[in-house]
Amino acid sequence: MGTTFWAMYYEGRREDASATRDKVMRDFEAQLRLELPTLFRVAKRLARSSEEAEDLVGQTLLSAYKSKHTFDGLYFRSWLIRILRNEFNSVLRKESSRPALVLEEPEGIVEPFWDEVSWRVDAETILRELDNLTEEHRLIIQLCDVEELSYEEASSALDIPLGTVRSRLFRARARLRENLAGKIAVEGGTR
Amino acid sequence: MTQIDWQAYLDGSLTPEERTRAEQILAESEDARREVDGLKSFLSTLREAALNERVPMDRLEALIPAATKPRWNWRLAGVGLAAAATIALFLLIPRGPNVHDDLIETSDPVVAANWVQPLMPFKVPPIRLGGDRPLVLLHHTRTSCCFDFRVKGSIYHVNVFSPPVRTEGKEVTLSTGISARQKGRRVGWSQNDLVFVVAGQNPETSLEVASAASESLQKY
Repeated sequence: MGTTFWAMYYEGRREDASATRDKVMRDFEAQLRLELPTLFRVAKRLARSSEEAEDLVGQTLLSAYKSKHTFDGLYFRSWLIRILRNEFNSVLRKESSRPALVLEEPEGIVEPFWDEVSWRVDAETILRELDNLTEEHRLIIQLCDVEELSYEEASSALDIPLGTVRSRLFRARARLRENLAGKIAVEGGTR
Repeated sequence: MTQIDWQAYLDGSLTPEERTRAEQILAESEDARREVDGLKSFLSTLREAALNERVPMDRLEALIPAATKPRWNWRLAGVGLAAAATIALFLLIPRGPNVHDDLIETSDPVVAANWVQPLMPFKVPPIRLGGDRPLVLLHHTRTSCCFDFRVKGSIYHVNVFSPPVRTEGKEVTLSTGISARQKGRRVGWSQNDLVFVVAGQNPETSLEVASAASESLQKY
């Protein structure tokens, strides 16, 4: 029996990962520089202030540098975001004794009114409501909808299964839409 | 209302069968088209809004650990010292500091300052805070260096820049009488023709660290 398709596929992935890893190791500084805007935006979505985001990015870069040998060669951006999130959580742990609970909300029925939301709200309102979401929800939206990470990359960055990425993103968008729709109802709108 | 998950459709995560069904519905239903267009438009507005937030690239780039490996200052090491002997000593004698490409793990500020000196465009002062506040490591970029101290269980960064670097925030006075600026957990001031910025977890402790660093600089 010859080599199966999947064996070839995984072998290819291993070779790709190895090539990516070599490339990243050769020019670690340049690769970090490329990821700075994404790291800063994700940090800001977590920390919610530019100042704290900068501190978080600085700590992430240092940790990444010290543990660069642990990069598996698959998704550099996801690896950095995972470090960033760990740094953020370690700060939270130090600042609060509150345990970080991961709550998956039950899925509700979603009515189709994206078109109602999309043309009535401005960028500032969207960002404000995005920042009002839970940490998990604003992070998944930032990764998938803003930074355009694939489900697979987001799964690696957040260390959660692919199915959870999909369901969490669905719920996060629904929550954001609900909050924005609430804003429209309160503030009114014209069509 | 259809049973199609339009978000999954736009994300490209439907199965081929679900996708075929979704496209059939889109061809037939104006409501479905409106929903998908609305979602597309919303996601595009969201992305544009989030990507338009300002990213302080200059400050972020200064945080990147430089890949350049520092060179030993051979003149300081002694002109007559043979390279082979140095390497042998380097390998055989147990060393205190743990030297990486762009950072040095040491509790001795003099060792740290001497190590980074050849790469810095200014004279690096060996900063020590005293008391129970040891230096953990020193790291650097191409134009600045940063002493990391452990203070009350957290890391406090004392960044050293050559001017001009703008510091902002409310005016505060350090224990040395030098005027500084504090914004949140950062304290910045000028001293000895250099600019220093302390950043840590707690605003009050950052101010204490800045005062201790300033006292150390006065003695230097």
